[in-house]
Amino acid sequence: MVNIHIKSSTDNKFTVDVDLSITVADFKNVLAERGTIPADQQRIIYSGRILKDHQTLAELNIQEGHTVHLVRGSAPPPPPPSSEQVPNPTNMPQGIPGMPNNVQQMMNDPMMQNILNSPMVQNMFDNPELLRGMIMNNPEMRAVLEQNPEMAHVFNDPRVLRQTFDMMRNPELMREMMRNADRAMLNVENHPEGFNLLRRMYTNVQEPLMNAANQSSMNQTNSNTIPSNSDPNPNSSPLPNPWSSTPASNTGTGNTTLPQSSSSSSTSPQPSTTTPNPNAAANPFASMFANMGGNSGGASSNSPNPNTSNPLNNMFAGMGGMGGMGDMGMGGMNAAQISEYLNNPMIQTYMQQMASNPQMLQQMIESNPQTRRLLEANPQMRDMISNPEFLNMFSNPQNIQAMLQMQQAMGTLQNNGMFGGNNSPSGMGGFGGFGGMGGMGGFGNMAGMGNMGGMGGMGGFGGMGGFSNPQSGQQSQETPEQRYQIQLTQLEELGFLDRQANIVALTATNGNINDAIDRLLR
Amino acid sequence: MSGAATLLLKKQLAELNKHPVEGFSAGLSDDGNFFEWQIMIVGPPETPYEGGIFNATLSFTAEYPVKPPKMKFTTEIWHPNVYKDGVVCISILHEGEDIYGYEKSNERWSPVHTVESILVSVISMLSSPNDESPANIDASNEWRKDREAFNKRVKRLARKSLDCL
Repeated sequence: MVNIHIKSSTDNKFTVDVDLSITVADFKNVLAERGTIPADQQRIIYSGRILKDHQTLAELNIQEGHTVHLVRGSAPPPPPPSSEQVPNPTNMPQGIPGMPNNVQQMMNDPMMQNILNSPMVQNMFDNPELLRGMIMNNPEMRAVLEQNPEMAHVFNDPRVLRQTFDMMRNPELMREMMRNADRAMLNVENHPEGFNLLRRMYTNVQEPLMNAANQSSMNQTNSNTIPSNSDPNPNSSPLPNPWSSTPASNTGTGNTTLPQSSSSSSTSPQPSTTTPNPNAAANPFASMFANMGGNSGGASSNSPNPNTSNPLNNMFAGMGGMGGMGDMGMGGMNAAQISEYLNNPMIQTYMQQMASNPQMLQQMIESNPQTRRLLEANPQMRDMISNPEFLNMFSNPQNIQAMLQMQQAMGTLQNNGMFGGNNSPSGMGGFGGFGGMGGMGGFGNMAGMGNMGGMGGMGGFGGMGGFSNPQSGQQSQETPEQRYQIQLTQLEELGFLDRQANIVALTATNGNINDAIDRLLR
Repeated sequence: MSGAATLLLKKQLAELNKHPVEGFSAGLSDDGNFFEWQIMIVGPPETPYEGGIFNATLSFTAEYPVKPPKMKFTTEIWHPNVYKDGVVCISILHEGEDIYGYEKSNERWSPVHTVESILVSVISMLSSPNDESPANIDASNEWRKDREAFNKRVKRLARKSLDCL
């Protein structure tokens, strides 16, 4: 609950205590009780805008102590069905849980736009029948559609499909949608529970991880510039298991389903030296991910660099590799989107279903030639997928969120120059990793509006994880004060006088002065 | 690396979110673009504008704060100092010396002005038009010669502004 101040044109000022997850429409009802303006005549103004009823306060980035203006407008005529939002004449049912959101989120990804604009996909869009065929060929998708008549309607009507795609291609609309998505990303953080969750995650996961990383990077020599097929990693001490403190980690699984050393370079077109993981036993998760990374990351990423030595790195590269399970659609989404995605009840149900019925997932994978190939090449992965426990693990939102957090932590570590050069996109790999998440991906197919059905390979993006630029940064030897000299001066000129805080902020944001200011102002 | 303009504007935005100012609400038109602001001005009480909500945009350039932004009402508004296309003409948004000598240089643009100070000036302009340097001659004449008709027209537009929300 947060306090929001209301400046009303008629009732003067007052303060209400609300939950940020409520929509503007609910908020108006709260205000109607406190003031004299009936909800349908309220116009709430925040940040230079009139708030729309369907938005949630969190989406709008309203925060504790902020003030909104309230004025009386005229009573509205019965509103035309969401015409101001999506000029889609058929008024695509907002009621499909998760759907509009997911489409928007997908659009947020420049990668996605590229894909959408590629001639092949355009072609596909021009032929909705084809797309529909693709979707209907998948027995599981069909089952899902049968369970969700609304959705079936969307897919069965080529006209609707076409309109949807036109909408996606329209840059104007897309921008609007992307803006919404930006806001949505703040949700997790702004939502009071979400914030707690993040905080919990921070203490449970990020800190141990940081410690672990610190340790291992100290142990690490610079041997990772030599691409070799042997294990170049001198770090043989087990990594502290960052998962040990997370409440819901089903740690048994990794060990039982997976051979511990990864032997996967056979599938990879490049010499992918997945480190035989010395701490497999100590950290089943790490080993699991490393394995997967080896299996699929190598295969899908075409990584020019061998996966290098740091086990942590490796682990995440591995997660990236999971994206390579291909076709799973979620690749490239960012953390907040994913957690939103995961909190969507429909997805949870779907994932539970999936978890309780491994065959379903298998079928889904089998019906996709790409993933099938992948699986055939990687029997380990097949084992993993058919293990219900493993799926369970992924269907536990806490686990997934914890993983997300780890990825973010990785991103931070990497930004801070802890792992190699500035531009190594290994953080990205982590994200892509989620693409792979078994059942979820399958949902990705559907929820993203058929996530453009056979858009295949998108998840493969995750393979980027394989890249970890092995040049350990020189810069980490400079003090932040030296490194961010210019930014520090700039901050001081702008009136941020606490030098220590400035340094901390700049370090945390890798010298990005805008982000640093954001932090300082928070 | 973005320039000082972005940083200053960013700071102002954060301030305005934390400590909003009576009479207007300001935010970015486009998330991430600190040069284009979206403004909503609440018609000041005890003026004919009362009850209206007026949308405006404030467009900065990278030369801010050396150069002033441009302000334009996107809601139809009837005011001696607002052009018919909505562009606001007030002295503090003008640079340098006024060649016509109407505006003293200390009333003109100065780098100390912020979104807040600009909007406070605009709101005060709504309450007390300056008919010495009119932008909308018709409105200015009506304001001077037929205040009743002027007020009536303003009130009609204020009501209309709510319908457009």
